[in-house]
Amino acid sequence: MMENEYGFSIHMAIGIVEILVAGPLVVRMLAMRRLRTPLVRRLSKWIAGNAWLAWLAGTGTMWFWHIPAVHHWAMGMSERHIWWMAVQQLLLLMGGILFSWPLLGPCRGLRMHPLAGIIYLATACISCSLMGLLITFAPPEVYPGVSPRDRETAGLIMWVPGCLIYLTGCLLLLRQWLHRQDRPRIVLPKI
Amino acid sequence: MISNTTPAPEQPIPGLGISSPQGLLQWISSVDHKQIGILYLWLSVLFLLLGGASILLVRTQLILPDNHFLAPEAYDQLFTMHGTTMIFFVVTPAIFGFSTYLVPLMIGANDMAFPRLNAFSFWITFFGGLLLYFSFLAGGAPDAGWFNYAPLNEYNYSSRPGIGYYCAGLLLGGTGTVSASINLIVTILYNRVPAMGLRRLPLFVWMVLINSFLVLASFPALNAALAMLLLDRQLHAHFFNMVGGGSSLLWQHLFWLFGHPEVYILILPVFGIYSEIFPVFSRRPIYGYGTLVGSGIAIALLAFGVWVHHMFATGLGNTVNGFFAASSLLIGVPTGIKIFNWLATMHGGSIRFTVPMLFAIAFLIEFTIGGLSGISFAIVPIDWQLTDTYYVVAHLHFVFIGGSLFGLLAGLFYWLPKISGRRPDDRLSRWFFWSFVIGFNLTFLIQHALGAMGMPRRVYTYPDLPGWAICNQLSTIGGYVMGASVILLVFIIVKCVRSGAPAGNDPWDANTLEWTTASPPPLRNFTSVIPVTSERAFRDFKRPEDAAGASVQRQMIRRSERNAAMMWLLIGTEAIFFLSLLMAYVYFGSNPGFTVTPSALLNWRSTGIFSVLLWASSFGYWRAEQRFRLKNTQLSQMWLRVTIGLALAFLAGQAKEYYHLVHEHHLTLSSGIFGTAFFTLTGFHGLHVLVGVLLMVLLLVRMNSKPAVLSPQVMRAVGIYWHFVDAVWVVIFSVVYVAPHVLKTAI
Amino acid sequence: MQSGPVIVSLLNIRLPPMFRPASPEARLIGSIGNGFLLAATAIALLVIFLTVWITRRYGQSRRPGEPSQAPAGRWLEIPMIGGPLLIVIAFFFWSMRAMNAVLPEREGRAADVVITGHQWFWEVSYPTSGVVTANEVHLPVGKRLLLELNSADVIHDWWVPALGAKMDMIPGRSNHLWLTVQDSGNYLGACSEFCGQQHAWMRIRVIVQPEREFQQWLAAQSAPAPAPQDKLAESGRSLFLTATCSNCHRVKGTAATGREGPDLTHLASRQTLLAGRTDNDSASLYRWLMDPQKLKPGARMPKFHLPKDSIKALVAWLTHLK
Repeated sequence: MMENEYGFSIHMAIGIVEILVAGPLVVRMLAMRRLRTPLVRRLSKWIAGNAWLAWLAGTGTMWFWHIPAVHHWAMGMSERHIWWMAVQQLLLLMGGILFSWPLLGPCRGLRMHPLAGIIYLATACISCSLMGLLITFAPPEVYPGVSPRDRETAGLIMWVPGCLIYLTGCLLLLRQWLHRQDRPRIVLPKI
Repeated sequence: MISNTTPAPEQPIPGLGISSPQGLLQWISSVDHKQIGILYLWLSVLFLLLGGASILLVRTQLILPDNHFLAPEAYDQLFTMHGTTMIFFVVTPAIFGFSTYLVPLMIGANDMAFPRLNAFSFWITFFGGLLLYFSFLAGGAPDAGWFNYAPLNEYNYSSRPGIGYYCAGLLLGGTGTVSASINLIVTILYNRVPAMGLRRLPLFVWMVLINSFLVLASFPALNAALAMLLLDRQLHAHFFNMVGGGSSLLWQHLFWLFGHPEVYILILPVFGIYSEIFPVFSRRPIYGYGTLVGSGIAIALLAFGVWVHHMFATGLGNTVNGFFAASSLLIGVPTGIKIFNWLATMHGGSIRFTVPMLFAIAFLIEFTIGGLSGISFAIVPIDWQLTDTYYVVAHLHFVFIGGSLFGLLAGLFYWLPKISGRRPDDRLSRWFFWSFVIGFNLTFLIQHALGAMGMPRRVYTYPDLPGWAICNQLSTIGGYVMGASVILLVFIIVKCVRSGAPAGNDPWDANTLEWTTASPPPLRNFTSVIPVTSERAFRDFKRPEDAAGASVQRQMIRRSERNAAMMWLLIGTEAIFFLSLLMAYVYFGSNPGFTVTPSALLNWRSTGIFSVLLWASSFGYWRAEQRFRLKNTQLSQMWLRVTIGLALAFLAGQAKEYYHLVHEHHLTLSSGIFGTAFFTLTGFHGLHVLVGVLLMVLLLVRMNSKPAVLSPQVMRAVGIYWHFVDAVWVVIFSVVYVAPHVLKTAI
Repeated sequence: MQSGPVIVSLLNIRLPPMFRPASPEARLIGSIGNGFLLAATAIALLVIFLTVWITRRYGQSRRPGEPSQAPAGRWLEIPMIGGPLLIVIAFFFWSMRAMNAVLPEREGRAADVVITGHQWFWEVSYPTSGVVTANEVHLPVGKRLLLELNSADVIHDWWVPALGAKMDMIPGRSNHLWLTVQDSGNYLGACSEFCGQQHAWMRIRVIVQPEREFQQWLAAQSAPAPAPQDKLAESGRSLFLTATCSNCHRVKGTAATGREGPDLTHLASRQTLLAGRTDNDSASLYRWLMDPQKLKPGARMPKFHLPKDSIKALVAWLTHLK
């Protein structure tokens, strides 16, 4: 099924959407009052205290599935077992959900400070760009059965559009921060 | 002055004090941010004269086709020194001069967070510049262009010592820039008056903040490249040398990974200067404060994803070029937005055409031209025609002069009354403005055409083709006009400093805190700071009717965390340095591939044992720090000794491994690309371990002699460094030792 | 003929070669260049207009006193961001199309001409016929050709403006360039990547000929060097072979097989000497042999301190290598 000329790139595009678009959307959905169960609340609390683990889950997911050996094995699996595709997508989605939890989590009070969020996203962006860079300039033997053009496109999807998603996130956080209202302590007298 | 109903003034953060004036000696030993800022600015003027003189010689050579005024040897040295000087020792020190002078004043502080580090940053930059120029006496200046492409920068093609001086000079200058940036970030974050929330920072301070992060992220790539080049030239390593398995393209990747962000480093703080000047002289609030900050951050982040556009003609293929065309085109958008923001700021105002404002208005047009010609390099097919021609020369000068230098001059005329306490001669300043602008456009507008006519850059002479001579002559005449006006500028500055009319504290009716203190500011900038109600605190103070509803919000600023913050920033930039070395290792391992099999040479088990010792030392340090916090100096010293012992054991293990590799396998730095990459990567790590050991020995000595003086913050800062060194080894160990073993490939 | 604007041709100004494209590749680049020039001029004029208009209308003399501080409407920010974004998106797709047309995949095709940059000359070889020459590249008109670009030492760059894209020559890797020249004639270019002292005198001359003429030239070039006709040339030849000349230069049909310097087999058939430094005549050749470092400082060829007679003999032989 993935035997076409751009198999790797398509996989990559789906992965990026899964982690950086679908994940955040699912987390946003959890913010609905009905879904804000005590369990979700407790989970939020735990993640807020261990944001670096969430960061690692997101970037780790990105890196893990593109380690050549893992990639090869996963491709083989998905050719043999159709259910594997679903499992892999689910794992990617899980990574995305965990990654965006500290920024968009259901409990407003437990979210990261927007400026810390910018650093959170920017460092993830660097890690993602590095992986993209390695894939783009990898020699052909590293990903057997993938055409050079396909590999380059896949790496560049991770590198450039991937980076732009992080960047958009950073700018949204910045906007949120600039518009946030703090409680004034002292008010200047009106003259 | 301040009535009872208004909020109480803020207490500034104290700086170091000097009891008595010490004359000239005081300038050398000063740690006052204002004096250091002034030294930076004079350094910049000095090198502007040197860099300008060298380019006037170059332009004189180009006045006639087939001219023999300069030999190619001299010509190459002069244009290389011109570019290197202007970028690293004129614009950069000018930016850091304004930053160190103004940032504390603008945030209501009395000094930088680390005044001694500030002095160190200046002097090391100064000596970097001197070292670069010393090359003229030592047998020849660098001669491979400011971006110094490999393999022309290698010993085989440039055997004179110039390029060695280039590496050393830029490494020193870069160290100064990085340490100054760390200092600025910590100052901005921790030395603000509590009422100045980040959303109330003047835009100049914002841009300096963003810019400093940009410096920390980009300079390590340059430092790594320079270190590799020095190893190549002095110890016969093979990083950029095809014959030994290296790659000349690696230099380009590393250089532009630094070099493109560097272009923004030279413009972002200047955008901040414009953002101060437009509102003051238009008498209007800045249009889109948030947008300006946001586009600054967007530029800083995008800056790292566009460097390949310097390499569109290297044959990387359409896929790679296409993606980078997209990101390079995109970075034009936030830059363009800023132009419209400034235009919108002037709209509806009451514009005062002072000299700083004249430069700012001229900038809008010149920078638009430079920005648009920049966009043409993001369009790959146009880049294929025009890159490396005089069109690029024109473009980059429109950006560096029409953008950066105009802003620095605007800033100079804006703040000179504050810095010197005197006003520059207005008539002469206007003469300077017009002659400089006319000279600049005459020199560089015409160079766009020269590029389109087919004249490559960096040629020492040219054949007499139709139109070439006349264009070059006009350009040279423009250069002379610029040169003459720079002399006029120096005269204006000297005249202002010696005999200008007194300026008063607030000559421009300005908005920010630096204008609330005397001109020039006393050694202690502020005794108290007015309440900060917005990014225009001083204006709110002077005209409360416009600031109705504004409030003071004090923030918690934990000043004691400054040491730790500094260390985090330092290891952040160190991490990128190691990442660059590691990427080089991975790049060579796969592309062309090592000629030896790492898994056969390296014994991951025995190295693993030493590695465990190193990692165990992190635990030892943690215990030492814990004991120290509990005031148990005795136990703390014991744990420190254990940590040092473990670190030394690791070093001994590494020494044994090196000995084994050199003597059994004849693997050296120069024996092949694997040796080159392996010894550099592990060697730099070993060096960091050694520095850590020295720091811990110092702690130990301090603890023995004056345990009361040693603050837990210092212990913590050294701890952050030490854990970082161990974490880096986790990565190196897995990539170099474990991965080849597990994956059965080179990497 | 020339496709420049009418006014320009009326004034009889020759447009620079970039605007007189002689190949479809250069034409594609030219059209996107013109499109960009139009868009950029429009934007620059807009900014200039706004700057002049605002500074005139809101000058202090016209609006004295402190203006209102009411914040301006934020709606402006949408076109401010949207406008430039749309323009760059349009140019992105345009340039992708042009890139793929100018530089499509090579797909295993062998190169027609291999050009190697040296410090400081161009080695030109034609793999199918085995011809090796230097500095002047002869091409047949109207044929779609694939150039292979290599370097023997540092990075050089191939650029002939009228023929389209430039391309770096990087040691250790081969780059490629497609080229179809539509009109015969001479096209000038130059090395565009700084490559050391004589970067300025690394000019390119592409001589495009009709197919028949090109084949004749190729046949002439593949012949060995002609035998010397007179005594002076004869002595020049033996001097060339006994002195160190033959270590670096090749003259086909003699014992000189060096590959460091340019191939001299048919030196006299070229239009210029030393990568465009001088015309190809015996006076220039004499000057060069007397003191290479004077004519082209830094050149790899050292000064040999030969007596004048010997140099005259060498010149006699070399000018005779048609």
